[in-house]
Amino acid sequence: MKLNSEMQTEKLMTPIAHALHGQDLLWDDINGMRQATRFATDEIELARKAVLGLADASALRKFGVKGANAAQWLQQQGLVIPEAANRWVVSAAGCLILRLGNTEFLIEDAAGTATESVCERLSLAFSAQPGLYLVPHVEAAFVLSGTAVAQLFSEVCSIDLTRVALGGKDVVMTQFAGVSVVLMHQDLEEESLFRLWCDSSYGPYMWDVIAGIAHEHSGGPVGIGRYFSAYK
Amino acid sequence: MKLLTCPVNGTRPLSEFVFGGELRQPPAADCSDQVWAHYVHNRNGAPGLKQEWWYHAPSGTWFIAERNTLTDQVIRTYLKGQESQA
Repeated sequence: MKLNSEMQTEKLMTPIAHALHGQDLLWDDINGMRQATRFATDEIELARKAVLGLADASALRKFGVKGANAAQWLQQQGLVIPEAANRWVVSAAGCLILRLGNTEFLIEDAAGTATESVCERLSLAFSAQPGLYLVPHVEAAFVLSGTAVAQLFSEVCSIDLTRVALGGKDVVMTQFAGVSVVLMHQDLEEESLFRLWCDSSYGPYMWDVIAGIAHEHSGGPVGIGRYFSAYK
Repeated sequence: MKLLTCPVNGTRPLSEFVFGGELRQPPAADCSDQVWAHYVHNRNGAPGLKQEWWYHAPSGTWFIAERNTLTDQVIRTYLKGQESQA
């Protein structure tokens, strides 16, 4: 029998790792997290992405805060926050700031190491005080794109999640294949993307469901570098 | 498909919601054991217009729905304390 120390994983693994066993993939470390960064040849991945591409964005750093003073504290840290609940903005440093309720926020760093880590800065600046509470975020995060995304949504969601219905800066909290998710649409690097976060324990299930439907449409998993050039 | 409107997230299928029971006013802290036992153990099962707690699971939002439990018609929904704005 192995000792506990030998059985422990040396590196942080992506929450979807259990859905990827047995596949011939290229693995790499992003922000200290081990994840698959290549699923097929360039030609195949580009074709998948055009129809229905799916990528694992769980390695992007996240920071969460909530409480009556959360909005004020984030503004004191130099961040511009969404004015209303269920809206999002991009900061000057390129990170996403999602307002998940009147008093709760999720911040996700921009891709790439060249940019400043806003989440790291916020973590260092945070100190417990009345009306300000840290919310640990370890969600499985996904990027979706392609001409068949609307068909995917219609198969697994009960509400209209097309780009038009979502609006420019809306954050939607709904159920996706029976799992509670946070979802938004973003135009990034001249691409029309959908971003999706769910509890990390549902990560492998969510990956399997989306990848399964994607394969039916001749799409499938692609490396995160297909969407974020910093990881190419 | 049955729909319910969350005051924060909008109209969603009922499967996204969890029923939280009737909104009831607890008796005073110094009430008798009999009054407290009645509050804890007994419910009013008569159909009619009731205020109920509902929970939107994906967003973690608790809110109140005024629902006619005879006809299953939801009159309005609102966050607690914001009844006048509904």
